[in-house]
Amino acid sequence: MSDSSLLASLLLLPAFGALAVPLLGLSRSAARGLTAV
Amino acid sequence: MATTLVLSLNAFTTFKGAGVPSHLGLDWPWMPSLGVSLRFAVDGFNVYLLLLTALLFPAVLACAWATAEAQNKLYLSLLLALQAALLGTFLTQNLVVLFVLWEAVLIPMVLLIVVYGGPQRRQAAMSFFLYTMAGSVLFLAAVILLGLEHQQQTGTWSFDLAALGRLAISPRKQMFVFAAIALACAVKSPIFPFHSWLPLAYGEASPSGTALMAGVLSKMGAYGFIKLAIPLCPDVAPVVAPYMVGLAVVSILYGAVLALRQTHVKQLVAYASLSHMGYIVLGVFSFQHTAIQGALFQILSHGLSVAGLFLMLGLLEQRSGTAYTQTTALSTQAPRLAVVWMLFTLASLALPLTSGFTAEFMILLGAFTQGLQAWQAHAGVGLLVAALAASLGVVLGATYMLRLAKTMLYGEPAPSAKPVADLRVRELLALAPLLVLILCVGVWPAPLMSKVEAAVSQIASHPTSQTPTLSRTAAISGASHGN
Repeated sequence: MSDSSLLASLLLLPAFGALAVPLLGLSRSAARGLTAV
Repeated sequence: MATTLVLSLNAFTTFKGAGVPSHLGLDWPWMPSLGVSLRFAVDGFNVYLLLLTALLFPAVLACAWATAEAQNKLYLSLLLALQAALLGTFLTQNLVVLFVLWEAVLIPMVLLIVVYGGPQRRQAAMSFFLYTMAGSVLFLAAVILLGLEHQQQTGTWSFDLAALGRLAISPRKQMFVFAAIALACAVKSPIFPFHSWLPLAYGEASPSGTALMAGVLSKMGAYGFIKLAIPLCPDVAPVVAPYMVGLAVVSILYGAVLALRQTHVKQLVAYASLSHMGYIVLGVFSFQHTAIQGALFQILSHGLSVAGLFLMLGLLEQRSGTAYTQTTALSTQAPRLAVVWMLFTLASLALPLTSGFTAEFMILLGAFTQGLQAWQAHAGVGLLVAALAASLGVVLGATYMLRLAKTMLYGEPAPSAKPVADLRVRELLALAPLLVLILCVGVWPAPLMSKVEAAVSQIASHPTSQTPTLSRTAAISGASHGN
């Protein structure tokens, strides 16, 4: 793995993960969590 | 998170300690006409923070695994968003991107407090949010001013940190930029007198939120001093250094005294954190090679030990509920838990062979060396007195941490108290990497030291940093009046 792809993966993985987790089926729990504020 | 950890460890081991900027980087244009690019690189200033961020998040998640909040995927999403924003903040080499990510960190952190915090969570989140936003308003003005300055001097826009560091900026403008960046960093760290948000936010956030705030978020402030304030204001920083050292010493002693007076364990660790952050600022503004290296070690060491302590408090809270503050006799009830708590305590009070000792010893050694040189050169005794006062903080630190350990580990359990279950394998595995790193840095710091050597030399060898004397001060203030 090249240096730039290593850093790109390092930065993008958590960012995509943060977006993917709600998109992949937690919309209800996320909404419940946010509306409980 | 596991993949991020593996990639971070790979980046950490690949990085051999080149200067700034490093060879290990990537560069994507974002707003080319404005000189804003997504340039990220590992360098000597962020390499420890990369390791710390990569290590702490999986530990936090593993420790919270059995709690209700970890079952909610929003929690996981917020953790990942926070990790991404923090990694971006530490690795970016562009000032606009750094500012954007610096602010972006606030969103998941505030949500973590508001959704998963204690009874006063809204108030805590609001105070944390308002303080840090207020600290960042002038930061934005400084970003714009630096971009404009580059445009006026070279004819092109750029927010590249290396390019901004090469600009010849008037002392008056440097003073504004320094004040703006230092204010944002002082609130984030926090250091005295910008710490008012700390007791409420640390007290009300969930244990994992507190561990991340004290372990990584507070390090953004320390990183800002080293990465932004000094390189971008090379003439003004040594002049202002005595005041920053003064604030650092007040933070060390004030935090320690308040920690001594606390009866609530979480507040005690919170104020201890304020005290230990003061050592980082003292090391940085001593402008001495060993002290700055010690400050970088302290960023790593304090991040590990304070996050470990808050995670342990979270584990106790999972076992005993709100009664965890009354915990006693852990050594007989839960021996593994007691040993791990003691190891984090020893690292926190800077016992030799732990990372805390390496860091604080180097900071104090560097501060004493620089202070002694200044005294011998008839340039004042300020730094020497500051180093002496900071040494007192070590003694106070040992006092409150050992007193806390004595209360929690020994004595008789209260008759009504529920027995505390010992650490499970999952919890031990979550905390083990933190402990291993604490001991590695304490026993054999050389491999880590070499990674930051070149970067530290760039700050420590700055021509003005060696002579922060009255004549230099007069020259700067004279030039400032002339503008």
